[in-house]
Amino acid sequence: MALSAQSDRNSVDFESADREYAELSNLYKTTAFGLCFSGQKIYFAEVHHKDGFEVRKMGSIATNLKFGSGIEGVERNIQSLYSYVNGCLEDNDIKAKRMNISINTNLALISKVFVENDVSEDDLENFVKWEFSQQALDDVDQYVVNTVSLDSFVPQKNLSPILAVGLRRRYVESLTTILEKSKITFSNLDVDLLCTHATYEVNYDISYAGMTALVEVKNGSISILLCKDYEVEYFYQFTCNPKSTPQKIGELLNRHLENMMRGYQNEIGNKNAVLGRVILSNLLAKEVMPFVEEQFSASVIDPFRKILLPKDLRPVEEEPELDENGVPKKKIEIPKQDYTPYAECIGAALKLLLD
Amino acid sequence: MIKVNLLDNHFAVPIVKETTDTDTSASKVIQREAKKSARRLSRIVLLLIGVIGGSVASYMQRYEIVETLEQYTGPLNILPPRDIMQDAEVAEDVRQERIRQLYMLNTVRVQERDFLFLSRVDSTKNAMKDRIYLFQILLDGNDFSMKIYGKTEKDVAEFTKTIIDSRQVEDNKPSSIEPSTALKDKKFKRTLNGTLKGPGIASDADAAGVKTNFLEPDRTLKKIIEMAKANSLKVSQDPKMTTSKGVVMITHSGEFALEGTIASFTKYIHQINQLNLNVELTEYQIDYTNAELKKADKIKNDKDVATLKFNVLTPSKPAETHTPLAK
Repeated sequence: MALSAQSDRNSVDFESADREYAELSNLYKTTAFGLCFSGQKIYFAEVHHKDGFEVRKMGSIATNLKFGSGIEGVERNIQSLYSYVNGCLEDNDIKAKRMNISINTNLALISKVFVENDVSEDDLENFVKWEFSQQALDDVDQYVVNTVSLDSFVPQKNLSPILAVGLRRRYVESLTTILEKSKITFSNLDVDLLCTHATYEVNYDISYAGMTALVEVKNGSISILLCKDYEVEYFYQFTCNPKSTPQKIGELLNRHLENMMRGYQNEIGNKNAVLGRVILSNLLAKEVMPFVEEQFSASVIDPFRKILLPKDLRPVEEEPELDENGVPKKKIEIPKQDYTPYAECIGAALKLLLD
Repeated sequence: MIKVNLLDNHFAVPIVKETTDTDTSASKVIQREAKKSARRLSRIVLLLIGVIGGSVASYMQRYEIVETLEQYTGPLNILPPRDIMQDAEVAEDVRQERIRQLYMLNTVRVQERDFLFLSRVDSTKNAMKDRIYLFQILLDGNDFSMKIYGKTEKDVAEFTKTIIDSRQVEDNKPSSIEPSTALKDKKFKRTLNGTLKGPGIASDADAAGVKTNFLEPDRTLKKIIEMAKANSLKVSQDPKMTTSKGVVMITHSGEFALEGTIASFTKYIHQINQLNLNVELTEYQIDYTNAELKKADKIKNDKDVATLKFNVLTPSKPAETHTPLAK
């Protein structure tokens, strides 16, 4: 009896498979998903990069969790985060394959240190760890630490400025554990302030008036990243009463901005460094802005200065209606939507694309 | 742009993992459960110590506890004699004497209460003589009952209220006032039942200054009959005595009727109390006479009659504290 065997070799559509792979590869390179937590909400944005940057999807999810209070470190408390993320991906038809999560700056330890140029890696590690231990209450080994070389001004030739960012290991581990089975690859974990910096970098031109201070205004703490053009020069942080009014925070900020500049000037030994503008971000940015002194040219960060809004949110330009005399009718101006809380998640996605 | 990825550690990963408050790790769960178990165990141990301590203390005080109980229940005889003293017999005698003294002190207190109550009833009755006729008072232990006739409903109610308001009365159950044809001018009647308050419990300290005279039964009987006569009370007949023997005391029970005024009778009770005699008055029945009823042959006595039931108590075994009364 003759056996009848049929091969499917000829029926496989290699071209289609290649095309699909190319599309996926392209999607992987050009689209990224950013997520950040603020208050009791999760903000998300999917950013696509072709000719310029365009946000394809964005939104917020209200939760019963209180982010920024350390809840991110307790696995049991954020078990539901997995379902929030998966639900968000499905409901919004998110196509991105990579995700960057931006975590509250207050949970991270940020420190700028100067390290000798010709030290070995071990010495560098020991030195940074020692510097870190001066600020951290717990054992430095309980932190995941990243170091970034800064191209900022160096007071002495044999010293290199390094920005060290540390986050408690348990936060990282619990987030990784929870999200490892997610449909999207959890490829990066970042800090709010540094994500805002990415948003600033993409949206804003350099200032000729002086340096730029990126100010993250939150209840209880204010973090400032002082940038020369886009390069981070100085990191400054101060705390305030969590129940302080925006006016009080504004007044405090005015004094601390001056103080920060004096500190920076002393560090670099140049009294001519001036602050050109202040860009406020995060929860209280809008409330505090009116109380910041005029000399600082304060503004609230706008993540959509250069990045395009999602298609369904873009303002439609309509032809003006004419009255009987042929004069355009006055239109009722609708106040522009506030997208400040999205600066971090957009920045998080941008950082994956700018990689 | 500051490139940071906190998923990667730039430094070597330490061998020792952080002890976190994530509650999923087995070690954490075990530690927590162990702590809980330790807490539970310590509570159980403390409870056991408490129970054992309580038991030991109760055992040490067992004689005192039983003695206190025996004051109310009579001899229980549930414990062997104490062996802490060299002479067990003497110790037992002392114990029994103590029980006797406390028992008699309580008896005197009860009788004093009875005296006060009966005096009040009698004086009230006398004060309302024209409006009230009291047929009978019965006082047995703490329970009393009386039958009241009155001219008007108001009189009966007023009398009842006066009696109920006595300090000695604890509880009362007056019947409804009903019309009666038994007496011409007192056409309403009612029965009043109630309970008297128990006197305070006698303690060793109370008994310290009081000593009951345990006389021979015959002598005690003679003494109380003499006292009755001295109070113008006529003893109808010599009482017949019955005897029952207990562990601590022998009880000689008797009953006699006394004719005379009730005021004399209450005075007589008071005198018995003052003498601290070994007499326990257990029941009083006072029957008031009434000419009208006598005429109608409904009652037989011409004078007021108090029937008294009593016990003469003597020690089962004469103790050293026994002091004879001078003749």
